[in-house]
Amino acid sequence: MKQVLHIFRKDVRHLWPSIAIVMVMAIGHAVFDVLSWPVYTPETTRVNAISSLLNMLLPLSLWFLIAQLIFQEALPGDRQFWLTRPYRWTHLLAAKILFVIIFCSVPLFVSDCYILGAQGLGVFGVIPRLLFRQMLLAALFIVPAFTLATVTTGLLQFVLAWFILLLALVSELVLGSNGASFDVYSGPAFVLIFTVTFMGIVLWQYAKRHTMAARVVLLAVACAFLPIMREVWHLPFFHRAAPTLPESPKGFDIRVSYDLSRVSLRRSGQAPPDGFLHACIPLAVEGLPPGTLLRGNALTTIRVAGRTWPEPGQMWASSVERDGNEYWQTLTLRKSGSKAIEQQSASLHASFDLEVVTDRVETTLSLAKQSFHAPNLGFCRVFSFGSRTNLSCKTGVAPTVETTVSYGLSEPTAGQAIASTPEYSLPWELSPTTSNMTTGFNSDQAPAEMTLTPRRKVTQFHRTLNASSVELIRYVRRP
Amino acid sequence: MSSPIRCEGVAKRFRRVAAVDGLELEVPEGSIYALIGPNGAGKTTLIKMLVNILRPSEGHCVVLDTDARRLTAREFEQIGYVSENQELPEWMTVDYFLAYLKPFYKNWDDGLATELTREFQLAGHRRLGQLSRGMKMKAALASSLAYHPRLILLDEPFSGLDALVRDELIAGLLERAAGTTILVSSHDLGEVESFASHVGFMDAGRLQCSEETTKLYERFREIEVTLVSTATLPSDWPESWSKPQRSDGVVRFIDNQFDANWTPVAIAERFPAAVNVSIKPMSLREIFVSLAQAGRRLRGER
Repeated sequence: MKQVLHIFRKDVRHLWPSIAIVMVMAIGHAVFDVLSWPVYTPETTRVNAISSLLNMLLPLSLWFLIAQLIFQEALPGDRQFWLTRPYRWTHLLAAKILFVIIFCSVPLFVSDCYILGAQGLGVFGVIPRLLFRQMLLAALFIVPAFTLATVTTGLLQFVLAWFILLLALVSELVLGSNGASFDVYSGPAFVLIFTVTFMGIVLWQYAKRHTMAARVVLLAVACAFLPIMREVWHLPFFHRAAPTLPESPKGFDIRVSYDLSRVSLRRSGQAPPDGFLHACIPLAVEGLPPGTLLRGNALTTIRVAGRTWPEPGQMWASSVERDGNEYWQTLTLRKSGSKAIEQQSASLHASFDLEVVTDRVETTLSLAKQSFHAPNLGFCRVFSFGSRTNLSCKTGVAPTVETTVSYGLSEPTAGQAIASTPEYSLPWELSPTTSNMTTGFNSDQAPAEMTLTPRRKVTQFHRTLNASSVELIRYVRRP
Repeated sequence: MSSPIRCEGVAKRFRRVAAVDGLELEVPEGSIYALIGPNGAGKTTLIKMLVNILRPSEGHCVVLDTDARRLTAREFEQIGYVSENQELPEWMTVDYFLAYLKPFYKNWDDGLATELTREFQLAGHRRLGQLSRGMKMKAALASSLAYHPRLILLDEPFSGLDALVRDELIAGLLERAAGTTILVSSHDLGEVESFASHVGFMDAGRLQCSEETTKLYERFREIEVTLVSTATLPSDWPESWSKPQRSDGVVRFIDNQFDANWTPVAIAERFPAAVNVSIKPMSLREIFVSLAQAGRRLRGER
């Protein structure tokens, strides 16, 4: 331990100017992150620009510091004085890690705490989450730089190695993805593969100093990243088996069926994408507990004149939506196939995953104040500029419940979904806050208050519905 | 106790080039071993393998009873290494450099470090990066002597230094490292012949000879035979005699197995018409040059 601290003190003594730069960047990042909002007024435009700049400069200053730190006792080469001194590689590595924790991770952690605290988003209740976030930040921002510095001899090589690594990854994604889902890169497998590979190379380099071999391994992993990710992603470890939903949820007697006799047709709702049309099939829903609503998705097959859509291997998703007091299954269909459904009736087979969520206004907030805290929305601010009024909210790392916001206006009808943060979401940005809602109004229509309806899950279940002789053309929504 | 340095069949290849090629070496305890050889002979590569900076392609070396590939901090506490092309932490001042190294060594001697700093006239407050080459070598040597190492390896330490600095370094080294085994490499014999107890001559990655300096002096003689007329060279030319050079009735060659009893008789037998025979002892530098030339000739003939 004495040797660890001795090397650490030496590094601090030499690298204090770079440490000071990181500190200034971290403080600047924290201060401007609090001041920045995803709203563009004369007040926020400059602040947002500085905040974005600091978001770029802070990682750069961290990488520069880490590179300088490792180069103090560079690993590649045969001329370094320390190679023939009684250094213990474990102590040397420990000293470097200690330095990185104190001068890279701790400033980021303190900056997180300040950003959350200054906006009243709560710090002490989320310390474990903040620490977990630091691990993810280290995996994304610190470990790669640390690793590259152990296989390079100077800043130029270090920068070049970054480019080569990124080039290898990007080329692979462009050339080799073949339409693979990019979701795989946001999961824990990404962090695990990269961190294990990088830390393995770091340990190997410090223990053996086989620089050329380490470089080859690093490049090979970068080049073979996609196949490795695919293999790892399919390991059962990363897949909690999707729960099999019960057909009848315990304690509830909820009945769902097609209601083809309903006369009313749906006219409102989101427009379909170009080249598609929406067919809204009426659903009858009974037995829902009071103060709840039903929603969900269904995989649906349509059979018309002996032909089935989608064709084998394809899937059509459709959603269950409530409009007023009525429920609909909205099918998104290609316009090119509409001729067939215009002329003949179809039979439907739909497999629904449904959930019942709360549908009760829990909070009503006045928008008279310029800033306020709202449950599940976090810290909100009202910006008035010219003829526009904007409302924007930021949430921290604490878990949130999806909430629908209503302003009691006819237009816009309002409502923003607030997704709760998954445990493993990767912090691609340095800020611990997420802007979860920004809504704009014309000032003459600006609402006086807003109501919050959290969507807490009450129960989930599965249902299969069949219907024959459905005249789909009848249900195509026409604006 | 076994030799502090022992190499068996050690080789180092960089792609197809063999920098060291099947070398055998044994450095006796307490000796000052001068490893000499022309530039590119493989001296630096060998020393780097001895301190585990480079790994041998074949064979192995044992340093302080440990395989050089497995040297740890414990062994490095007893090894001093100074090289002409070593990169020192240039931002450190001399005083801080010595203070920084101190906790790494159990045997660090503050008094000796101070004495060496004074003797080498090192300005403690100056950064290593601001020092001249000679002063840097002094700082490196001071930092390698201050913990009384059992073994000191010096790789071309005097290369490019002026005579005064070189003498100061040598004096400092000899005074402080009495009893320590020292291996010093050089391509210039004049630098080391005054104090080396043993000499190893390295060429083309191999050790051509390795022995005590006194024995080497005894073994080599430059012989000059003056003949009356242009006599032909004898056909039974001994192997220990180098290829002769002839000019104006004078034949010159080097005997590398000189024997006071046998050599004069062998000369008389082969040159019965000799008017004069001069047998001169050689300096280490002359021996080195003759060995190097013989080696090159041999490679040329191959």
